[in-house]
Amino acid sequence: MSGDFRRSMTTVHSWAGVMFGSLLMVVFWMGSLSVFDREIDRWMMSDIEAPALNHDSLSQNVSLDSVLRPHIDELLAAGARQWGSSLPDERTPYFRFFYQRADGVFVSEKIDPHRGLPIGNEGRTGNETLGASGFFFPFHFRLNLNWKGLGHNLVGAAAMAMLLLLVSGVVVHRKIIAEFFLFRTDKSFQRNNLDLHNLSSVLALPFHFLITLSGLIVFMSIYVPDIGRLVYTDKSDAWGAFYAEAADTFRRPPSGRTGGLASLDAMRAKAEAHWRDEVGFIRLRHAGDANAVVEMGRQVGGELSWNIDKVYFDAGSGERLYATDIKPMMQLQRFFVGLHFAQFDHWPLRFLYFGSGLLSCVMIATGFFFWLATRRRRHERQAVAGFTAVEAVTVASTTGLLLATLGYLVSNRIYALTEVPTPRALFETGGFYAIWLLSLLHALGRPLAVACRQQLAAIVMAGLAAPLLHFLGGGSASTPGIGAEQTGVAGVNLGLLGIALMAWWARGRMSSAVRCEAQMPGVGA
Amino acid sequence: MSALLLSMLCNFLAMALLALEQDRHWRRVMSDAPRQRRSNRRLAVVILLVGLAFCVTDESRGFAVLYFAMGTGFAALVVAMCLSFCPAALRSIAKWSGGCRAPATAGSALSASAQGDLTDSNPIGRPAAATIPRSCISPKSRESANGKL
Repeated sequence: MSGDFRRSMTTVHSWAGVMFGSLLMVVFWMGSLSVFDREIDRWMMSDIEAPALNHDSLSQNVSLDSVLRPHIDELLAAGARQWGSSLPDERTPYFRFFYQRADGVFVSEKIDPHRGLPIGNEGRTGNETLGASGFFFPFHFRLNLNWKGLGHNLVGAAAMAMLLLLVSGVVVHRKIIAEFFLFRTDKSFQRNNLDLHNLSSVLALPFHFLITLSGLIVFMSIYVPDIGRLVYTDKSDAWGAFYAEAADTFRRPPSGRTGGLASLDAMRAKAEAHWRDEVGFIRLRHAGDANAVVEMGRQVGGELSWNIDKVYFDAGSGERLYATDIKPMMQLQRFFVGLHFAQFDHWPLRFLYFGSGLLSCVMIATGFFFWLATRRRRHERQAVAGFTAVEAVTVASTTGLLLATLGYLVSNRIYALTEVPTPRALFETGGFYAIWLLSLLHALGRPLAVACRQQLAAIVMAGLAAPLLHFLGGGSASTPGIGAEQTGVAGVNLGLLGIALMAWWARGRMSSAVRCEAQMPGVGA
Repeated sequence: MSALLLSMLCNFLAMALLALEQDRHWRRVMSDAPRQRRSNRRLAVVILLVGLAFCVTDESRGFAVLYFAMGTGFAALVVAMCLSFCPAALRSIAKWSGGCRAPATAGSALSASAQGDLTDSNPIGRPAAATIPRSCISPKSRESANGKL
């Protein structure tokens, strides 16, 4: 490989990393948290009278007609156009229900599988939390920026940059095999940084590549919008036509006549007999119309691919109308979707996903810190404008992001323990953004090493405070279920303590590096 | 689940064998200059395949391959951390793979350290290793240099 090519790749690696590193850090951190979003949801709902997970609350033991039907009838009487729900399972022991009101607005609710009532709003207005699945998960793929698809497109650009970084990184790294297992703790802090960057990059390289590529494939209709129009030139809704053909969806227009709703349990039994597998999702389109269609979706936890197998029923009679036959092209896309979302019932794999996601974060953070440290003296000497700002953004997107995440969880617990008048979701998200902004302002006012160490100290305190507040808020008492539910909540507490421990270790390591820097400039941080 | 654990153990063993193929890691684990010894690469590949077989027996093909691929990376990370923080943990594997060796002498460990770790490529332009203050080198490294391992 020629030296020129390697040098040019080094330039690409540096600049792509500097420009997109912060964004990538946010995406990978939020994505890692999303692997355990349901468990974090349960942790954040600990003070709410949530349904206990037991044998009766699992989807196959819940009667849709007796539990959901009364609520559905109420909504239909109020003019709801459509509704849908995922069914309870071990990780989510409640219906995740949504409906479209007569004015077109979508509303989401959590329905207790024992009582059939929405949970989260009892006794206190605005008590419902966004949780991890309502905040961290969308943050992961659209940064919660919905204006003209800005968030989606920024994340897409970052994903493309990530692919570029991975390819250029393989070219730049001269000794991939020789340094495959190498992490020298007895060297300078800067050398530690580079070793850790190389180690986390190389060991999880297949993960980094596949998770990025599959993320782009998931949103193919957003990132390459014109492909559908090129193929389906005579269709006004090109992507709709594509999905109708590839995913083999069934649609029929409303008739304008009033219609009823047959037994949902009977329809579910027919769908499960068709697949010999459980139903995981149910939806009613054209509610209240004689042409209303009930759509039953197969559960997705049993296999790697995220299936979209559906059976359609006539809502009035309960007769089967159609069963999908997914085309190979769509099956390939669904394989990548399943690979990316990691919503399968496989705990060891989910932990490996989580660990690999954290390794991605380590790779991005160490790459950033290495780049800054190697250029600090030169840029200070040359008085390069904006270097301080880059340092501050780096701190805010690494330690600041961790601190903001912990702030979100601590805000959730403070809300549970106090009488805050604002809606819970607003209080929690306000806490997240305020702490993130403060971390940036804090980093702007001091050297990188000092800002990092102070923010790491704050992470240690927040990491210890969150489980303590969870305990004080009756966290353990209000989750009477046994098994996955309590294990999940306890796992979140352990994870928080683990973050505190790692931050404490990293702070100590940085402190010793700074001492070395004082004794011998160029060796330490 | 037990098959998945066995698979992970196989991955760890194979990765440890591959790591110990490198003189630098051998010295770190055994505190001894590497001598002529048989290559264990083929054995490591066979153990990896056994690990894959354990996965396939316990899971569907999709999950098995994904678990195996990710588990191999995880095992390599654990081996790397063992080499960094607790190299003695790999000593039994090293002995099994390469036969027993004589304990290190002060001279051999010091020379190994000087030849290997302290003269690596230096892309960041730091000062020569000999001039680094002792307080900036971890106690473990100092012990290694004194031949106490």
